[in-house]
Amino acid sequence: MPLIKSGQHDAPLGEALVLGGVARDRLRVRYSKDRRIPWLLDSTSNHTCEEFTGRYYATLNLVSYEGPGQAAVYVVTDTDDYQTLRIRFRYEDGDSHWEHMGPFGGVRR
Amino acid sequence: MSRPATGISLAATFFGGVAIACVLWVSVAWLLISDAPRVWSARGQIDTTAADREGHELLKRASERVQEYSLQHGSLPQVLAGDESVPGCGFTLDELEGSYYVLANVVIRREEDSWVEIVAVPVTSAYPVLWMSFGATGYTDAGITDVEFFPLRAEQSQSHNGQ
Repeated sequence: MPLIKSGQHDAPLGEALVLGGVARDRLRVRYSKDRRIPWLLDSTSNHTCEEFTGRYYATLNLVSYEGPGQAAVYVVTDTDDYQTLRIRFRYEDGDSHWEHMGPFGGVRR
Repeated sequence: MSRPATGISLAATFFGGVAIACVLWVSVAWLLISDAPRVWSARGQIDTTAADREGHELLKRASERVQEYSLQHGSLPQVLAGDESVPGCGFTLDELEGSYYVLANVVIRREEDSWVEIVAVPVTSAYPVLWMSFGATGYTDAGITDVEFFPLRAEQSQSHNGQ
């Protein structure tokens, strides 16, 4: 079942934002327990994490290191003409920044 | 008889002009609020050959750096672009970013066979996720496999063993 209702304007983008936000929150919870940086969203190293797979987008099962206390998660898609999204965030306060990775980078909306 | 004909002609011209103006305005408005220009431009920039080349070059360079680090330090780096707290292998974050692909800044250790994986993330859906895996001991069995979207571990293992 899609996280965002099909037919809604830019449902894929909405789904991507939800998936990335969920991944960020889960990583922050895990980090808060022992202050150790997780490198995967789950314990296996499959490239995409089933738990974080939607109808249009999927979260890559890896955590990209962005600096002390900071990380990034990638949300990728096979939906035509949509871009990869990257959410950069800080573990401590959850401060986040979304990026569209494609030719028209930056925050689109 | 000529006056009514002229009047009809003028009215037709007027309404025709209004109709054309309406069509133009609607077209402009649609272009402004829709994603069509972005999509058309993005399609124009899709170059699968260049993207494929870039993705593989990024992975190859990163794997070589990981191997060099491993030989020098006797252990694997945790990331590609590190700092004082997390050991990396000499990259900066900017160096991980290409036009078509971005290297994820992590060196993944697979639990099942102790191999190492690095992943190149495509910037759009026009390109597949690329990954490279190589053995932690000796690095003699390296390979690159393009995977279909959302790969399954079984498929990866098969392609991996087949190399």
